Amino acid sequence: MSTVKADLVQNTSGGATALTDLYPCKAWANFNGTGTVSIFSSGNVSSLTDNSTGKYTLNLSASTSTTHQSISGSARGASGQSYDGAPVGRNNSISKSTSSVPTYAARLIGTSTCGISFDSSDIAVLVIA
Amino acid sequence: MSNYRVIFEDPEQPEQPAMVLVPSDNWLSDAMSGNLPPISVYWELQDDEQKAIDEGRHSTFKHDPSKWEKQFTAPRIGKLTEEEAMEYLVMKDIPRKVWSIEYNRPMFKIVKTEQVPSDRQFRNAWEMAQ
Repeated sequence: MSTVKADLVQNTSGGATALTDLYPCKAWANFNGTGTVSIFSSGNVSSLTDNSTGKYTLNLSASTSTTHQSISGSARGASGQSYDGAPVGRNNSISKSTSSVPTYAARLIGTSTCGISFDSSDIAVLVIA
Repeated sequence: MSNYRVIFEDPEQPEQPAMVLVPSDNWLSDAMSGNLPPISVYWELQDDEQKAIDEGRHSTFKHDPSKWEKQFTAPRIGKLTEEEAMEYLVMKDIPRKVWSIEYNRPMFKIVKTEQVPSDRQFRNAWEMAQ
């Protein structure tokens, strides 16, 4: 067995590598959407925009190369409610000027249950593109 | 954790509540270590994408690889202070129409974190204080 040790892997131009037959996550974040919103931890995320109740935009440090991102996530249920694991998805109502998702932001993330947005204390999001 | 937040409003959507930009600690650390490309790299990508939106071809849009790679290969701009990093972040992550056009009132403010209300009961009615 061989051991590969490296601090940085780049392509021959010095840019990001395309790993053949591997489809890694391009960005992720875990944040608190209650109180004064804060990011617990993240990867390839420059900032988070708190748009309104239960609606957020994840701004990426490095944009994805195409517009076809897959966004997945989950959120802890609202305080005082018995259910958990509410869905996180795209929310097209935040921006009327951009109905599609830009490559520089996982825009339009929302947490909702029965169509009602709510603030969650623990939201996790993955962006794959 | 950053001492700052950015409050901003969308001039094209006056009924939308004020928004709050929260910087990522990882990104802030990169900015203060001097690991960011020039802001023009991001603007160039955003311009290309906006053009695709305007021309109705955004659903099949793909960045020019040579421009996209500049995010990783462009010469770094050097270390920023936290305040400079926040200004860079405004220009990167807040729509250009918010900060590049002069309106009859400010559309964004960089504030201390403790100035942002923690009570979100009326979150959808937040406005930026003048």
